Amino acid sequence: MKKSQIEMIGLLIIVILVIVVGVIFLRLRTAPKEDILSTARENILISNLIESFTKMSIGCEKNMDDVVEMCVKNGGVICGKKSCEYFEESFKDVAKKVLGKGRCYEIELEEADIKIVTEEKNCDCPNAKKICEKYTSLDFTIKVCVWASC
Amino acid sequence: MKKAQATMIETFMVLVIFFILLMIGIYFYFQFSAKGIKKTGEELAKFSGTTLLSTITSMPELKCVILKKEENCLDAIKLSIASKQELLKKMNLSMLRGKSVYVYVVYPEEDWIEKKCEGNNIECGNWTLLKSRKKKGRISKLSTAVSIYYPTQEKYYVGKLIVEY
Repeated sequence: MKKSQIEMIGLLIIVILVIVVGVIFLRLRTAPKEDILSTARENILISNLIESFTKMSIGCEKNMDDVVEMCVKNGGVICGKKSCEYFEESFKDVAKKVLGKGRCYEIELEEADIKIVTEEKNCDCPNAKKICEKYTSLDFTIKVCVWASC
Repeated sequence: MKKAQATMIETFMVLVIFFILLMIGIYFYFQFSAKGIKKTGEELAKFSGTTLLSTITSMPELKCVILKKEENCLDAIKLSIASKQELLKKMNLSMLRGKSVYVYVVYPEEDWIEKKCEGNNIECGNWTLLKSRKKKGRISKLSTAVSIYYPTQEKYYVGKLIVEY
């Protein structure tokens, strides 16, 4: 092989190396960063959801707060309905209306051992980040997690 | 063809190729820049939308006061007054530019809440606090849950606050 041919191959290797480094650099620069703002927004959404849900009036001059309290204490009947079932049904309805159909969520009422988890097949984006918030009152703790929107 | 002519043609060809490559480079550079600017614009709009959601829920003009104590909810009567008097439009805040703001009751569904009623009245259960001119292209939405208090019935409902931009 002539000297000029070896030089050409050397130059080619350098060009390839520069391209490879450039591609890696661009990849790293354009890699999706963790979106702090959207996480904060989801946190606000969950807090507002729990707060407005627990505050909600249910008739017979009671609030959802009273339903949860009853469910935690003895699972008794309130406004003619079983408190724990009433809590579960209402939360499902509210979550569907507020979060939309495709959003997955999880709610846990620790003291009453209730956990509602939406099925993954119904989620728009099952691999999205899970964001959780806790609401604590004197008698109960509600933990709600929402899968971030895609 | 003389040698000088051949050299000139060669130089000319090199220049043509150089400019073509330069043009391609400039095109891609501006493409990337435009994409970056668009993304930054979207992020800023999202940020201002998120701020707006928090601002509206904490505005004394809309917040409910029960027994002289401010609570974390929106008053249905105040919402009706604010929407009829176009309160947000009058405020002329920069964060409101190009945005529409709606509030409506989502749960429990009651018979007295008339569906498809657009009067900003308390019995409609939906209020248009701000309406921007119709935009061309994609409309993005941000929303959050709110508690809506009806002082006449002393009842709380779950509502949804939506910001469109």
